[in-house]
Amino acid sequence: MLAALVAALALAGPLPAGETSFTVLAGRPFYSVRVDHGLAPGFDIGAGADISLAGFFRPIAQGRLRAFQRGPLQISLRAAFAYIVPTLRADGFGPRRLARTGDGELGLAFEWTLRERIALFAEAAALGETDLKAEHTASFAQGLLGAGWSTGGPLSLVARGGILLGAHGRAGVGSAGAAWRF
Amino acid sequence: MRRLLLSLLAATAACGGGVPILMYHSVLPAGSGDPLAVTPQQLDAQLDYFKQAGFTTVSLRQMIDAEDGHGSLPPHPIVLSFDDGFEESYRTTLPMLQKRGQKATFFVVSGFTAPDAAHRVHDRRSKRPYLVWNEVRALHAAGMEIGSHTVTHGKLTELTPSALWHEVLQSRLDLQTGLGAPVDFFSYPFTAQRFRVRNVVVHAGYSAAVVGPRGGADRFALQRITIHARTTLDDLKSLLSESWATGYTTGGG
Repeated sequence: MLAALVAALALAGPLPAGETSFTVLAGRPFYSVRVDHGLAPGFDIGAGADISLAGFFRPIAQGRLRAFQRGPLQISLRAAFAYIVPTLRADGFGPRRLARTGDGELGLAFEWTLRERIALFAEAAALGETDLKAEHTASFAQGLLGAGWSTGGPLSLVARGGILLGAHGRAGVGSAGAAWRF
Repeated sequence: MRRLLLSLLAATAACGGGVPILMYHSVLPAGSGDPLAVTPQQLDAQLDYFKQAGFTTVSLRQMIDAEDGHGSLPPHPIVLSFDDGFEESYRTTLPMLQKRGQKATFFVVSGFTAPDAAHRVHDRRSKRPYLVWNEVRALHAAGMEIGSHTVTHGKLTELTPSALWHEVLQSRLDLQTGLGAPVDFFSYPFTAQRFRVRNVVVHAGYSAAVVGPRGGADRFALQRITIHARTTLDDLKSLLSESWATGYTTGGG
């Protein structure tokens, strides 16, 4: 039963095969929309976009693979690729221009169904970005903790927060939103 | 041991606040054959661009002080740095900067800086002349920042501990004596540095040190953007852009 709920919440791990979810999150550094679809047991793919008020959006594609599941616990791997598309022009006065970079993310997520309809998750991820110029090539580490609550129907509410660490400093990250499964 | 730990902690503290630091070497007429040299025309166009695009040149001292909460930076600050201390720094670059009210940091090799023009040192390969002391003082008097680029431009990662200390500390002492002013910034020759080298730079009393594109926000390995002969104005505009995540973690996002 609990294992089924873990899959039903699908906070950090793959959706059940054949199921689709639409997720909307708002927060830092992104506002995100994502559609994920379970392709096979323990494996799903997703696509969407992250929008930043700093003046860019990034189309993103990702895949999640369940690596381990026992009882209320599942461990999954996430790989994503995104591309930064600046939306602000700043050739003159104003903020510095944004470089168009490719972003990659590799995450290891732990999801634990705490109680019926409530699950917690944690993800440690390595992030990288590059446009093949050393100045715009950087790696980051991100840690996230989150929680999800299933309404019992197709809707789940999700909140998560953590930290993004890089050679140039650190920043808090966090977002909250809802996922609709169909 | 406590001092060492505190120094290393300070050394690894993120700083810079996303201020771009440009690394120039020489300013030479077209056809010089030096891949790191820009022509006076290129530099003219780039300095004009900084002005038109709203960048304000600041010194490394201003940048570090602002990071430490002492003073603030103007909008869109940028640091211009020139390595090696060749004579054209005084003859060509200084007038171009002065014409626009801009400033730069010049990293001088103390052992190549002769007392006067009669004893001027020339580079062994290119035969190009280095600055002499009156010119270094004139740069400083004109509001330019002077930093150390070692005594002999040696590759610090290959030196023995005593030679490393000599290159790092003696150059600072020589420059401070010659200028009668503090010399607080260091540039690694060939941008070559390791933990062992950075540790010596920290203990020699510098406030910060610059590297090349492989640097970061570590105060003793500050990243610089390389400007060379083939850097077009469009390249420069692109290089001055920032990646979203870097800007985000430095508070710009």
